[in-house]
Amino acid sequence: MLTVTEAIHWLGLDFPANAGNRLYWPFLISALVIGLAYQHWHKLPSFLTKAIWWHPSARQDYALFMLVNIFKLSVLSVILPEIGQFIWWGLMRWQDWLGYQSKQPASIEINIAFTICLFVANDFSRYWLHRWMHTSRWLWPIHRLHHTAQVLTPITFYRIHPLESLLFGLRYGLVTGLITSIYMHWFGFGLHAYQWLGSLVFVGLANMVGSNLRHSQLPLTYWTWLQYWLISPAQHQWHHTVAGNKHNFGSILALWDRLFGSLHNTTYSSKFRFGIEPEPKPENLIRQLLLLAPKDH
Amino acid sequence: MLKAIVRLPLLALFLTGTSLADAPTTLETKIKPALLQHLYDQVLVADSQAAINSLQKLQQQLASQNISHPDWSLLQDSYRDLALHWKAVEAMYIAGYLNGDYLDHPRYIDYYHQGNESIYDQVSKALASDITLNKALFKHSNKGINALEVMLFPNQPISAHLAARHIQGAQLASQTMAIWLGEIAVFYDTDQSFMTGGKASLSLLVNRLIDSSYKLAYWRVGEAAGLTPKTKGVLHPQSLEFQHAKLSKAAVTRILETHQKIVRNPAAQDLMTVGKAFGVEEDIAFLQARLNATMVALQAVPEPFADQLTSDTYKTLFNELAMLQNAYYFMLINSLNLEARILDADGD
Repeated sequence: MLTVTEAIHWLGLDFPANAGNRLYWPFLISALVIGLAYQHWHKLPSFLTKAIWWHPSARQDYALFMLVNIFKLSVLSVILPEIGQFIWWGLMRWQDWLGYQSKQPASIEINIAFTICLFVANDFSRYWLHRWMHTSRWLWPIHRLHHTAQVLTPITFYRIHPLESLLFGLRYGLVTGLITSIYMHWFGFGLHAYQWLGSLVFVGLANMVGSNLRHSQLPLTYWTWLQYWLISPAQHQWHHTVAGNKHNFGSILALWDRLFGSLHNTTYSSKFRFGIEPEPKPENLIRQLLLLAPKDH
Repeated sequence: MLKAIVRLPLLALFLTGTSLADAPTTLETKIKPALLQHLYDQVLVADSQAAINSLQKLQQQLASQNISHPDWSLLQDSYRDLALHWKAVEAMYIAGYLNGDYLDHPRYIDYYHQGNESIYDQVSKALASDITLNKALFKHSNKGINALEVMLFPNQPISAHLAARHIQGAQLASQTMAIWLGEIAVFYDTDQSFMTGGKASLSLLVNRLIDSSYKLAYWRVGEAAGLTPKTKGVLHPQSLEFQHAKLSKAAVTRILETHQKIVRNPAAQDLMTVGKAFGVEEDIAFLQARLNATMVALQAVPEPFADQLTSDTYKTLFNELAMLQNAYYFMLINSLNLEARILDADGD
């Protein structure tokens, strides 16, 4: 018999209590405070209205969030190897290819370099996988579901097809496994990735300064120069617009968009119309999950 | 004013966030100085003292021998004692990491698996020659523990003249070894940096355990039986350590016993204790189980190793040692503070 606690866990309703995800309560509160201050500063319309948070698209997000969470816990957790297995696999490969290496103690500098490498490699691979999800005729139908959102809330971050969850899980496992195992090949015990609030320190920092506003109706913009380095919430919102979904694939760093020609700078007064159709219509969630949506890309 | 509205909550959030950050209940705070002191005294200091003591005993016996008709059996027993104490020191050798001046000491004492030269051929040739021993044994490698093995374990009955050359060569080699081994023992006896090193000190030991487990599996066992990528399918008995002294199995045993002293010891000042405090007790218990299984596999292989290279028990021992290395890797991986929940790494 399912207990209330178990039900909460299966539906993902305990996310705000768990460090290591974007909905962890300190990140939600920081996003709220920053959002309210920014909204007041620029005299923007409220991003907390019922029209947004109870929009049919937002309700789809909530349903999908719970559904996908059940899928993750029941299916993906079984078929996806654990991160430790990816690292072990990497260690064996490095030992085969490079020979055994006596392990040196990891200094603070090495641990800082390791933390930076993990962050940069993960951000880079997220950029490319995200970009491929837009450009590949096979991957776009999977990612399309994320872009049919007509309003954005922090839960929209989790509005993704289970197959996308699988792909991003594999990406994380492979990249983290390869980077960690190569460092471990040389440095062994004592290796340490610096974390903050349950996330890699840079990710934790990004979350604390408003990652949850990326999926929101508040077009928070950074200084123009900074938007060449970091993707602002408004830049990601631009990516969700009908006109902008070939731009701003980056997650935290704007560097990749700059390097590979997909960066688009935005201002808070830009026109944002979210979705994939010029005249968006609510789409059936089941059809989207079954990848039966019209070919529109 | 508006800027202050933005900045103040941000500042407050940062401060709150800082206090909420992963509490400093890291490995650092859970490694008690008493634990490090115990490992240092009972393993590093004790083994290095035992090694230098056994070397001094051997030197005394060498000095008191009738060099033309030595008591080989007595000297060989002392050599065995020395060699096995040295294996314990070598397995956990961290002096070079604590002080760079001591980095190469093991290389001057032990030439096993270093370079391609045959210590046996070189030393045998030098002893059989008419050149003075100081000149004939000029190379470092001719005055280490492997050379000493050649000198004290002659293959067949030898002439009085050659016996004297062997004993004099052994005196020379043991004098050289006494310098290096003595420096190691004095360093461990006087240096205190390990006890104050916390996590870094523990890292040194764990890295040595991993290193040692690899060398046990691939150098000391696998290579001779053609079970490694290097010797794939081809028997290579000359890869065995101490094959003339027939100490190959005893060396492996002593190294594994040294692992056990670190992983689990009767005083409970060990990795298991650290694992309990850090919540990875299961990993250490698994490691201990693998160590025990490896010991069982080792006991099942009759001596000498050289006669067992194609046996199933020998292959089982190699597999167990390889799994032991994996167990160390699993412990290593789980000691990382990485986000294990792959499924939270969603898209954008």
